[in-house]
Amino acid sequence: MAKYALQRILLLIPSLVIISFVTFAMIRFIPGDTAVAMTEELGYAANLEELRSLLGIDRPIHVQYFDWVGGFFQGDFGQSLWDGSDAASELLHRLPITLEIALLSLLISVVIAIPIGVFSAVRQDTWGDYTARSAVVLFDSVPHFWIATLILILPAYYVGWVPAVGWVPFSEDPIKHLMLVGLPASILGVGSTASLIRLTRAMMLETLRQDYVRTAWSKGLSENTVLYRHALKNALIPVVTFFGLRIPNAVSGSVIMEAVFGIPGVGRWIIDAINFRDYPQLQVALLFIAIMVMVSNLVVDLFYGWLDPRVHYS
Amino acid sequence: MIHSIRKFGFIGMAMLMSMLVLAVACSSGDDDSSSSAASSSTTAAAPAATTAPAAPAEPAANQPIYGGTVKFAQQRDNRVSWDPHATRGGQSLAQNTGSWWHNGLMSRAYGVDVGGGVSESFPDLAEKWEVSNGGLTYTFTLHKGVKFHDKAPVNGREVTSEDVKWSYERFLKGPDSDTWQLGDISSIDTPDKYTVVMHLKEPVVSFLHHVGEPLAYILPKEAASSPPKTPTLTLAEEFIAPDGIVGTGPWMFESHEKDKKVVAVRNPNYFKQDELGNQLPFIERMEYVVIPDASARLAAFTAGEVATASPASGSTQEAMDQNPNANVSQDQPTSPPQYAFRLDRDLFKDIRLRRAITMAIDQQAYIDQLRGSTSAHTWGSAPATAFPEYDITAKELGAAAKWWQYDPQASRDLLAEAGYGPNNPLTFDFQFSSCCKSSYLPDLVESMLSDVGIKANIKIVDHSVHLKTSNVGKGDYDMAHARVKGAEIDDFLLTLMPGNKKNVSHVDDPILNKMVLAQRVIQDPIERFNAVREIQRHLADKVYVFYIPDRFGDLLWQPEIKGFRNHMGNTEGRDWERAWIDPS
Repeated sequence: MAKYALQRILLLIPSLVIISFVTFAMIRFIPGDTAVAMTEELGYAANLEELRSLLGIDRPIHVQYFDWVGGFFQGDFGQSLWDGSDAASELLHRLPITLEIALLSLLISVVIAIPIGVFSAVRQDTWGDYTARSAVVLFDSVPHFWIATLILILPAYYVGWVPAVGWVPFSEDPIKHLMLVGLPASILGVGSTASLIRLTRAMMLETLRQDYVRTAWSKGLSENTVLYRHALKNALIPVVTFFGLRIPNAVSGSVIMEAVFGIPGVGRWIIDAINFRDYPQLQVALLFIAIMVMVSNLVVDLFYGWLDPRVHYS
Repeated sequence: MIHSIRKFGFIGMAMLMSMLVLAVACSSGDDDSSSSAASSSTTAAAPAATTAPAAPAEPAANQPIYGGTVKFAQQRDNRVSWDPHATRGGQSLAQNTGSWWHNGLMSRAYGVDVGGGVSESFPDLAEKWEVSNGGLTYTFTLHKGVKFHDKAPVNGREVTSEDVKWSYERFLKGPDSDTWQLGDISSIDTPDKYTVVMHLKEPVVSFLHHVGEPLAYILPKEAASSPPKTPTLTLAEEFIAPDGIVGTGPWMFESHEKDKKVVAVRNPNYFKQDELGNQLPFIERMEYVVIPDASARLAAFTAGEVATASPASGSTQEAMDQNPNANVSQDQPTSPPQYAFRLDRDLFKDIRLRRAITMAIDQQAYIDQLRGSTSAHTWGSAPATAFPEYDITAKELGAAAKWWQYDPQASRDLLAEAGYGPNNPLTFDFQFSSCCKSSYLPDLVESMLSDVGIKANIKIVDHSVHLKTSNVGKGDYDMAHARVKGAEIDDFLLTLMPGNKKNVSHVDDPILNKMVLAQRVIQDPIERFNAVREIQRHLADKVYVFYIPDRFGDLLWQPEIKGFRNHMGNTEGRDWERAWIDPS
């Protein structure tokens, strides 16, 4: 397994090189560069050409790229073209905020979806199953941002109250912190349970029809033992894959929540970087997301072996 | 992991979910639970914990009381320098808050009883001024005893004329786009500690407006850091937040948390008092929080979490319905929009075509579609949309008024005279920015032009492309929308002169040039007004630029806020310095 893991990690390197170049080039194809965006907000130079020269974005794209990559290997990920702040430090400062919302939302979706999925499979074609499946369709149909907006607007309009918005670090005020994180994470988590419930139910139904489960029942084992010790673990293998793929989705979902609830995470940072064509900021953020997706896929693959001993890495 | 989940069990999961639901349900609306005074946008504090005169325990009705926090919401944080001389238009938080910490020599109009349409300059650090030498010399006398904030390294020292001179000279070297407004200054003298003499190159009557308009705040040079931190700032030094933001304003810079909030605290040594002798300001703490979503900002206002709301375009009435007790101001923006004909291209050199277009556009239908409060029919004159004192009627306009009356048949007749008709329709490219469709209504205009047989090819371009092209009169199009900004009507008239970078129509009319230059130096107000009137008539007849009706800038504020009236421009500090919170 260690050899397999090492191979996979080495394979990440060419992927990262390609991704770094593609992201570097693509963001420069967006109409209007940093100088144009700055001219709207500021007048830091007599003309666009002078400003581009000051920013260093007038150089050929390959020169800029190798300059950036060179800095990368020296631990310099670039500075914001707007305020000179260090892009990597800013990312590291905001990352925990976004990851906290994303992971909490995933936890919430797992906590809700897996029990309901199992229940729906075990009580197939009962009223409980129908209710759960109807709820799944409902959750699937309603966009997150719409729920978030309604949650903010309706209480304000009818009872003159709004849920907390903004951000307070956990170390400063743990209760307030949980309040601020709880609502966006819950909206994201509940909103993304639908597909997980559906998948868990389908996999459980399939697993419950396997011979070894029938054997377990015939041995007279308790329902809990059959369901959770024998069936659930095997049913969860595709669910784990799905869970791994949800991590980037959860991060992108938190982008919208950050905008609605005024949370200073990576998502808002990326949107600002796009709007203001802050290339170093955008490059670092996109590269990080790419790394996160690749690493989460790798972790999911390695996790298979733990869940199913029949899986061998070679 | 599965083992752990199993061990944790469904009871544990249920408990966790319950805790989360409870946490969400108990979540209060305030953004800062550290103090009850800060928990609401307009929380009136009890006795003021400042050096301000003690407030009466039982304040009489309408007696201002000290203390409280006012919280504002802004779409995004400041991305640029906090240096007030290094910012310019747009929605910069540095600009919005600049007048919290700083004062200028003069200010744009402000005050509870001053309407939004007043464009005069009001005194700020200047106590009085005198115009001499035929309008070539302006002598300002400073308030004595005005002190900078009591922060190192300035430590509350007194403001002198040298600070004014240094600040103006720095501002004029800086990147602010409004520096041109002070370009008429030839030199500044400081004969004594409290006197500033500005010598002008020519006796421009709009000069006093310009002293009040730009962000030429008076700064203490010892608070600046050198070299600048901002990569592209070409000034020798920079005022960097939080320590470098030192001014004379009613509030002092306390903290800035990026993408979260900016906090200001009361300056106990502010140099102004109200008419009753009360030390200003009354409000103890001011905060800007970042709430990117417009619905969330309005919801926060409805719930009383923030003090003001700027409803999205056309939704002011809806916001007022939701907040029936809120105060509202609806004022004309100082940057009137225009449809500009490109006179450097052949097509619109034919005056008949320009007139045919203005007669084909029904301004009333345009105003109706803008929804909400807007300026009136513009009569195509120089921008009365921004300066109501120059409003003009059809009768005053005389013969030229007919070019601005909606008259589709007359439009068709003119087109026919110019050789265009159903078989040979007038066709041209009309460029708009993607940013502003709801303000410039390209679809409506296209439809109205189509009704008289004109085929306008509407080109919606990215705003960044607009900035490089139609905003500066360049690019491949025949007509476009644009905005110009200014403090006085002279600023707009100058944009119709050759060489002015905002002359997006490329107007070059020797008669107009002469008239514009002449009005700049007429010292007698009535005589100048009449000269401007002549220009308005000339412009209405020549149809170089079509100033279109504009949507007003609307602001709602909470009913418990007293002593406040919003004004357009960078006057937040002046508008709020007399405000107080009525706890009743």
